[in-house]
Amino acid sequence: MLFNSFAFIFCFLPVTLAGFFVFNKFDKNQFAKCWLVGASLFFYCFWTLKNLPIIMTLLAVNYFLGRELHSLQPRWPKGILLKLGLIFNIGILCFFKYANFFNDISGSPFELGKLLLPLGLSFLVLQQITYLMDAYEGMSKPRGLLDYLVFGTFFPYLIAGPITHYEELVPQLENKENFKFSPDRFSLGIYIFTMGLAKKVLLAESFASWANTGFEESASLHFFAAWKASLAYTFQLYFDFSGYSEMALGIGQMLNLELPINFNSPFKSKSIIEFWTRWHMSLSRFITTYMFTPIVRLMPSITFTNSMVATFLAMLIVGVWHGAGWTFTVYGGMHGLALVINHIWKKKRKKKKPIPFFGWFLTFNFVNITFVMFRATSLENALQVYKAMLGLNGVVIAKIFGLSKESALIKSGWKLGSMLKPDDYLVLILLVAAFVLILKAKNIPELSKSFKPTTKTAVFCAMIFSLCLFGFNRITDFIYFNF
Amino acid sequence: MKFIKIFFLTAVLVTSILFGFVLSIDPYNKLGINVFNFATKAVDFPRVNKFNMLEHSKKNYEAFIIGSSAANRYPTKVVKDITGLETFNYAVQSATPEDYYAIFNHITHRSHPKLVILSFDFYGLNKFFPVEDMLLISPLKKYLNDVDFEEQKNLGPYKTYFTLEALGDSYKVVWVNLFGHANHSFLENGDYFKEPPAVPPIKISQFPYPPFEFDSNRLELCKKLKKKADDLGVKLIVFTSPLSYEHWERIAKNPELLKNLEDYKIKLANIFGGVYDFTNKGAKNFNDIKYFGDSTHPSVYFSEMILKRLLKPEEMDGEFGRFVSGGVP
Repeated sequence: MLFNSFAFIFCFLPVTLAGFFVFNKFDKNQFAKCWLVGASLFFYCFWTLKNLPIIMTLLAVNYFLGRELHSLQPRWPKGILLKLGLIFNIGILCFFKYANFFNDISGSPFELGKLLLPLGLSFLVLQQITYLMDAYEGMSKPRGLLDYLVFGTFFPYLIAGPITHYEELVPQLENKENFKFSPDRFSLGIYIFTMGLAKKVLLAESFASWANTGFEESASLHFFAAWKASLAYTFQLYFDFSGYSEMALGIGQMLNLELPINFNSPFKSKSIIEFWTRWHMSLSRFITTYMFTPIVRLMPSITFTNSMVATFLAMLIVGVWHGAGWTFTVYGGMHGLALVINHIWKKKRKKKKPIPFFGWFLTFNFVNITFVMFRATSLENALQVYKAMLGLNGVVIAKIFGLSKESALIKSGWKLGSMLKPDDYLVLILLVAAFVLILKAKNIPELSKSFKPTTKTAVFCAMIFSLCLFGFNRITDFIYFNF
Repeated sequence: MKFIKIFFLTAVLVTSILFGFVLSIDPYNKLGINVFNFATKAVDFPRVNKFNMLEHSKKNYEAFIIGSSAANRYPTKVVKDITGLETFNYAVQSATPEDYYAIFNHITHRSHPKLVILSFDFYGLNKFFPVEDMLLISPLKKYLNDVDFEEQKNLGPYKTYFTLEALGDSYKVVWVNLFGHANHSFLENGDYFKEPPAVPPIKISQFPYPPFEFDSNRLELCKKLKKKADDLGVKLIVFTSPLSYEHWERIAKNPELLKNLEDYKIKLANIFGGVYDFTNKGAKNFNDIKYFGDSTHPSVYFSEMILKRLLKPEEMDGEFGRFVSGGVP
């Protein structure tokens, strides 16, 4: 059941919200939590039942490990419990995500069969790691099984994040103010949810078809078509993932629960360091806290060089986390290297301020280029797109601006195509609109701050929502459901 | 609370207005509604357009070209020049054997054709490729009375009318009728209107093939079609719709799909007593936009060449257009 489906919006969500507030109204807070857990499990099982035992096992083991880690007198040393928990979680993830890959590349004679990654496992594992680490570091309080289950299964972030810490969610469930239906927060929730829905249905889905066509036809792309495909994918990924995150945030608000934001206008970034503080923020926080810092701690001393090595390694791991394949590894490596170069540049040119436009231009294009690797089905596929983006497959230009066979451009080797078709204009309009949105429009944290539940906003929101309903027929899965 | 009430009321109102607008325009003629009495529905609907063209034509057509949009550009003049028969191009988009059969019944019902040239598409025998909705709401449907096939369940206006595409098409209908002028979709004899030359490269991503499974009902329908043609004394020339080399290569990368493609030709040859094969690696010699607009639509120039190959064999690539006489599928 996708957030952007009739079943979710008109059946699942209203029933879940109604149940939650009705139980709370009669002071049955524990029932309300049970209701949330039940709804979340139903939401998960709506996709597939067969993965439920895996998810439940994961939650059960982590709960008992967490309880021991929270305990003042654990039965085993906490360090060992933590290591066991990490091995267990990472082991499960690696088994489902990488077993086939390593079996294939090692040329092993064993036939593993097709192991399918349980939906949402990657995010769930990261979330459980934060739970164990926080418990170990004493950064979370011990609470009951029900609170843990709400945290572990909460449907808005269960499949694709944002990766939420135990202490970010559970204390909110103890605040009695949050048990009451709040029209203001509910209105804000509707607003955020609708904006996310529009990003997914109206924008991401439009870019998806151009990106898919481009990457499928990578061998025959020319210069402009390759850039169109790469930009289309960059925008598709951004609107798809940030749209999903915002829908999750919106649902959280409707339930009076605040979830961490995941995107903060990432394409306004003027450096790759800044980009990673604005893009997939809950993952960036995880990388810094649970990957970069432990790697640095493992080093003999904390030096600039060592921290750069740690940065590179952390990004490489992030790449691999996205999936089993060389493209993701290279993607992680590219970003790791770029971060290292950015840090060195920053260190060497302390006093000189970079030119903002140049910084933005470089960052945006670097990200766009690396997303080609992220989207490509193989290294060969990515290289074909890169080749075309460099113009090595030739340049075909549409018959516009009075271009003829006699034009200097055509004589210099460019090929003359046909006139622009209505679809081409649509591409241009949407690309321009996307640039305006990512550079000029307010992001969700900004919009939330300035949100006022006025009639004008309600009408605007309802109109966007109605338009989105008409787009439900062309829905594909969210991209991050695959990771 | 005011925000929530206004939001829900407006959403219901706006959704109803938008859906009501689409229904009143009825852009695909599904409901037979024309509330505003518009002269035309701007959306192409060849199953209706060509049906009506033929019904209202005073010409006595004796030869027909049948097929999907891949057969749109076969010029009727070439057939007439070679055979002397007045020819009509009855190609319709996304045609499957159900279309071929309905069209054959229509043309034999209104006249006595001597020749039918059938451009057969590979996807047409795939049971997962559905019958086009448009066939089932077109006047051609009455020519399918003796055919038992599974109608899709998605014919309700919800599936096709509760969409952004339908909203856009409804807007186009209004625009064309109020501010533009309605163009004829096809030229005389069902020929395709002139179009700008294609832009390289040739697109290969039109049909995601797998899963592919032969549809036994459609194979039976083909046999029925052949029998009718024989009974009526109609010469039926069948050929596999050409695919660009890149497209064929992509199929060839999948051994199972390639086997299906080869079986498809043999099955057709067995049913129709032979088939001209334009779906093979011989396309390599015609791998240019001069020959293909995209991976499945041959250009007018290439369509002419193919017709000449079928009607007046001449020098062409040995592999491309070869005659397959049948065998064991």
